[in-house]
Amino acid sequence: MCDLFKRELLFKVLVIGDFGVGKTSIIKRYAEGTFSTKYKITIGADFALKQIDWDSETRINIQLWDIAGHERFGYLTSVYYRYAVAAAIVFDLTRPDTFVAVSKWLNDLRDKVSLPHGKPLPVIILANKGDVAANKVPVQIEEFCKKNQIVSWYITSAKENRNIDSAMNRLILEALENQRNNNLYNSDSLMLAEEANSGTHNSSRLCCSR
Amino acid sequence: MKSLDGAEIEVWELITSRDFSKIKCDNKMLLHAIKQGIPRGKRGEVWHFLAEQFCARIPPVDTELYPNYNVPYETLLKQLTSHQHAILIDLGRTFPSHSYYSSPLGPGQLALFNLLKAYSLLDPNVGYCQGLSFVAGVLLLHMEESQAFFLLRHLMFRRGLRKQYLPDMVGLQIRLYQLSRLLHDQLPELYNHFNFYEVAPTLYAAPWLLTIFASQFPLGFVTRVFDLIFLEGTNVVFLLEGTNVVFRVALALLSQHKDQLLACDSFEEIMNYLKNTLPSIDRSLLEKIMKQVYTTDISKQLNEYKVEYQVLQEEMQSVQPQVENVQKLENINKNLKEQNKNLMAQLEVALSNVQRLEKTRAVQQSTINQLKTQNRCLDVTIGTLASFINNLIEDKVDVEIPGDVRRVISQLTLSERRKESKNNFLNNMFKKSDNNTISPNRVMVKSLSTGKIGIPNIDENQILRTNSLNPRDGGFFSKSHNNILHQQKMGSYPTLEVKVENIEEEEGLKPPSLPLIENLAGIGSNKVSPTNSVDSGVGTPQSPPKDGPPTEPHPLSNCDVTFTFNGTRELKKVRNLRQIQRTSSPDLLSK
Repeated sequence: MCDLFKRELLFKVLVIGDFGVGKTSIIKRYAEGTFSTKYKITIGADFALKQIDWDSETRINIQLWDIAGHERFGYLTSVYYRYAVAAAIVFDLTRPDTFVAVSKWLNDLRDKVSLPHGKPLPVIILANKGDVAANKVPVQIEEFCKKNQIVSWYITSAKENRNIDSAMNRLILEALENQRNNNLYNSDSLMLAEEANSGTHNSSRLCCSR
Repeated sequence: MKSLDGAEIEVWELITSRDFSKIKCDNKMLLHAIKQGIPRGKRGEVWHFLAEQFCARIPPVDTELYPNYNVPYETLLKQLTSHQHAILIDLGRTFPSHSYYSSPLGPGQLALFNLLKAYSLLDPNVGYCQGLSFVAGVLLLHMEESQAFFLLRHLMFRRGLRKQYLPDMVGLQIRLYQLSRLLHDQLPELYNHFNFYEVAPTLYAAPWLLTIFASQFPLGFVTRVFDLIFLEGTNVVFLLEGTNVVFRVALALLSQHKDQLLACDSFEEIMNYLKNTLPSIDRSLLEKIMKQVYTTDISKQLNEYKVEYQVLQEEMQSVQPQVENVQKLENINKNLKEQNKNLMAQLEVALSNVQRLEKTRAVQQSTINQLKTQNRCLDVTIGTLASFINNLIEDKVDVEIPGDVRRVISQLTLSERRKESKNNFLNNMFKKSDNNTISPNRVMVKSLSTGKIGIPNIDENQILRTNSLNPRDGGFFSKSHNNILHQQKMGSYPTLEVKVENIEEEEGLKPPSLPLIENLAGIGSNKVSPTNSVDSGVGTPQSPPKDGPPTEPHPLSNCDVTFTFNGTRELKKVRNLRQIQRTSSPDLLSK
């Protein structure tokens, strides 16, 4: 009954990073609590939903966007990034080059999406496959985070369900904070924004079709 | 598996016998056969046959553009590819639940690796792109490696698939646009529905196009689509170009699910339906879709859309400078807004300061008024006391009046007399002085009474305020001084009078034997007494002009009374008191 009075929030959270670092695994672990070694390649983008009863008054619907890691999909990412309020950049501890790519993904993200008021999205970094190579954390990660306003970084393991919940909670906390600051504190606001946008989108499309 | 009738078997046998010249391919029969579905075992051969048919009708590939095009598969396999890593990672993620591909580095994955590696070397521009592994995977399920390689190359180069995998993915973007337009024209209701929930083809159709449905749809369905792709443009049925079939299939799929999709009323619901429900295709739906695919012709539209997209792109390019300009202006606007915001904040602070100061001023004004009243009262008191003492002196000659008291009394008497005989300009001066103007002697008394009533130092505002009156008071003073000097010359006042006036104005010059006044003077000099260093000489009304030698002798220079400040605010010494007493008392008494 009291659910009726709950404030519902919708957060679109991006999970990006190079191919094969475990984005899909992290999302499946977080959203469904499962792990498998048999995930398909993510072509383009995919998404999963998770509902969290954040507190007695707030229910958060998290839309986790699994963005294809292949470099050339970068031409499509602006469509996938739209309306996102937070992002997790994943790299693979067993592949140092995927950490190098983190800054590339961060740039791509910063270039293509920001919060409604122009603020940058809160970003966390997930050093995945911590079950295999927790000791191979790049030494420069701390400095990188400071330099690039990364909220935090975590050693995660989708396989062993390590740190994923706490990392995501941290990100949600940031998103909530931004939400509060933006005075968009009800579920309608996001919806309305989307509708307003789709309206213009629509008309432009129709215009082009002539 | 459905049973094959005799005629169909005959067709497949004919095709696979590869005696094409003799057959001259009965198109109608072939189409009919393919509509029923090619038997699994014959598929590889049929696809190969159709590919050769197709190639026979178009000019060969320009090997200058693609120098590796004719390099044999075996040769390519001996080389190393820079895409090895990416390919390896994707092996386990291509048909991960299909038995042929599921075992890590088993025969399926190895074949897939070889095929993708060879292709990446054949076509360095494309190299490896995600999605390709599914296309290759489907081919490998129906034929051996080298044959699959031949057909992969065929699909990529001869059937136009290649463009969508190039690094800029322009081909994919054109196709996504075409699909969107197709939807707009063919299924407007669904188009509007998708548009409303912002379900763009980029979100759901990218895997359809990049894997020819293989990543999400059941293999039985996917192979039927492949059948059609190989069939198209082979002079058999549709004289069509490109990957027309993929669009027909996509359109058929969406139209078959139109009602259910329209019933979805959120972005997530639509996306979930497209991803999970739509791909599960049963036999009857498969036939329905295939039937629809055969009967729709959209090649004309697709060509139009393609041209349209290119025109749009060119337009976008041409307006690029304007777009950049707009972005620049937007940035400038943003900065200005920010500045404006800051200035507004500053203004607000300033306004609140003004308000605060205005309040302070009002409070101080009321203090001033209060002090003025007190001053008047004290004037009256002093007058009364003076007249009482005067009377006393007159009545009782034997009473010994201290010299100091006598002097003060005489001063008071004189000042009173002078007040009465003031000429008009002075009177006017006092009349003019409104509430804001503080007459010089009032300021003095005010500071005294301030000390008396225990109000701490009147703050600097007040002093400033007093100072601000300088020109006027200074004027008054210089005038009064001049006047006095003039009177002195005219002999209308005795010398002492001048002294008296100045003494009165020079606060602190009070005989120590007069306790009340002494006290007051002491307190006053500790406070904001204008004669003291706090602001003395800076044009305070009471200060005689100190800097710059006065053109005329200062009134006090004629006075016998001298006083010194030893660098402190305390009145140290009053000298020549006796002398004054001696010399002046007769005068005083005589008056």
